[in-house]
Amino acid sequence: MNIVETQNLKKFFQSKKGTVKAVNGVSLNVIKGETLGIVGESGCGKTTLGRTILKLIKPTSGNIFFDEKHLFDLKLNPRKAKDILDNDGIDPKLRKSFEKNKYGLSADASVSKKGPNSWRIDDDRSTYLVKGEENSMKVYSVKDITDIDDKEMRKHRKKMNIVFQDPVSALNPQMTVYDHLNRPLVIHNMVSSEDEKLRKMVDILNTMGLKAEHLIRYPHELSGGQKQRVCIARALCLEPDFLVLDEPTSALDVSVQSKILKLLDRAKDKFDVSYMFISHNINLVRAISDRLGVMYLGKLVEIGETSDVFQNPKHPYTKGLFKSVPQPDPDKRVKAPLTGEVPSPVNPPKGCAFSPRCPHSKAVCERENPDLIEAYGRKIACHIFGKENF
Amino acid sequence: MVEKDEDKSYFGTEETDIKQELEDLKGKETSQMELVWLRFKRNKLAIFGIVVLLLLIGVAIFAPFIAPNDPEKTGADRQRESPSSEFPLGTDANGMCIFSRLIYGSRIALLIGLLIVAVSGGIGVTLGLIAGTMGGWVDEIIMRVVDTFMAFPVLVFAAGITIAFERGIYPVIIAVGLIMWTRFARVTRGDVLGIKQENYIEGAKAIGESKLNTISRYFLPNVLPSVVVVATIQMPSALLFSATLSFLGIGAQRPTPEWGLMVNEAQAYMWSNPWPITYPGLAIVITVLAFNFMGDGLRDALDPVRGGGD
Repeated sequence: MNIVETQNLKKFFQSKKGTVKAVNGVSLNVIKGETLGIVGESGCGKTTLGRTILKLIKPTSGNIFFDEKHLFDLKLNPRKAKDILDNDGIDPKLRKSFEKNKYGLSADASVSKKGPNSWRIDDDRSTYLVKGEENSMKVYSVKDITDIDDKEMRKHRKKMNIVFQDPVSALNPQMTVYDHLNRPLVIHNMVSSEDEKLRKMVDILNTMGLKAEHLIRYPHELSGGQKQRVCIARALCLEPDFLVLDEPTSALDVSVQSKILKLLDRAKDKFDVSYMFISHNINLVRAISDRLGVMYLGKLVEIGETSDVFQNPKHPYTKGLFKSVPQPDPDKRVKAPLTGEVPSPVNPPKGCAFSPRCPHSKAVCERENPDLIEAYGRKIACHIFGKENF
Repeated sequence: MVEKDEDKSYFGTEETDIKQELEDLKGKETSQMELVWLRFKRNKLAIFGIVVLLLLIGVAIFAPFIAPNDPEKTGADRQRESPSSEFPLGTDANGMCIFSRLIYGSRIALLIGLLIVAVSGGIGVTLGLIAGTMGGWVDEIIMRVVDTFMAFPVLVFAAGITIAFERGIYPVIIAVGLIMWTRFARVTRGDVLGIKQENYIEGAKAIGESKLNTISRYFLPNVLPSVVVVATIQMPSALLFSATLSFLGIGAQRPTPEWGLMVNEAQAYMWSNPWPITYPGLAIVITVLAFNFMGDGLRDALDPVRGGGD
């Protein structure tokens, strides 16, 4: 089940030069309990993606679904179900199927197609996703957090949080560690008494390898690694379901990095949280993530099981990116596998964004934008793997 | 990846008295204020300024014990007397004790300075916070108002207000306060725009802070150091404005023991007896200098990176 799912998420910024398409139609999902790694060169929009998913910045378009729950399987033949769902309006058969499972659809419910195998049903109470999976159609309830107002969103913030790259900037210099942990607990009414609060704070600090005495410290009295651990403790003290880790270790020493990663791994088990780990350090992501998404110029080009993608990268960009990782063995070194510059996100190339640099570029690549399609047990956005070339 | 059993001790919360432990620790920390004081101490002029100001505050508080006479008591029989044991600095044209008036004048000066800074700081910081955090057209409007106010000839504006209402120190406070808020607003807005870029503001949003709480708990504490510096730098200007307005006869009115008013009264006979005009003049100069020195020192101490510039 997914904890987070985005559908065609876009975030554009207006600049003097034009519209910067930082995130340009990303559809991905984070499965409950997993770590999804996101890699890509700097400027590819991975940080913006993380912030947009948490609605720290308002998405330009697309949908963000949160907290997916499996309700029931549609008691309809998948092909028939597809037909019903594709025809606009709620078919009586569909309504019956919902009612049988004690989820009545209200009169004004509407269906919209969201992908080759997924539909969205909205009624006045909730949002449902219907997904075709192998031989059955499953119905999920989700929270669509895309368009809810700030007040409503603040309630949902308990369930999701972020750890920033630079711990120096991420902590308020005028607040002690106690205050930093206190605020989220107070805002979301997590504790009933001061004693319980302190115990909870100390517990989480211990999990992060810090002590009770750190509570009264100001950020400037802590080392970089300690600051980052405070940031993680603050993010975790609400016991969220989903955490965006935006390069949480890249501002730290190598020795501290591994410690933080171990703490994150431990916290994942303790708090049952799913991570989206954003990084440009490919080896790091390889070590920590279950699945891996590769981004290029605001788009997801390949996403699949980490080991699978690493052993056998399919997208030409992924191949080049992995080959660019410095090898300790001089004989294995390759000369600059990726040639040319990353095009400007203000004016991305027509068709496939990678086509100007791609060694396999064809006419169709410069003309049409490839969709993210299923191939080799993962999803790839490349014309090489498109239907006409199979 | 991590051997969980071995790490189990890590998880458990020992049932020690955490509260007590924290209380014990609190005394041992070097706080940020101590660091500021360490840097402040190095600046001799700033120390001079703060000593003078502490003296001035002492004088203001204990004025009734220091002053030998009632500062507002006139006497037709003792006009323009020379210094004597009864009147240490002599009397003025109305027979009021100059020394007592100087002593009580410190009260008026500090009161006016503090209130003006409070009024202008209150307006300026609030509008600066609003302009900086809201941005867009709100920011645009507020900053154009600031520009407009900055283009006003200060004295003419203040004179207009005091004449339009009544004369006295409170119209002066309001008038000067209405003029001087612009600098607070500019500094606050500038700081807010910088703070906005910090991750902790986005972090505050991520934990679900409301907008109002973000302003009061994240923006405000972080602009305060700059605001304090502006306040100490504005204080002497406030004093000078109020003295000037009183000197021009549109501020404090007789028999209020106001230094600017005293200068005004003594100027009529300054060529025959220069002393009555010298004392209040010196009091103004010393107070203003002390505030300036302290303000400079405070700025350097609070902001060692940018220190020195304006």
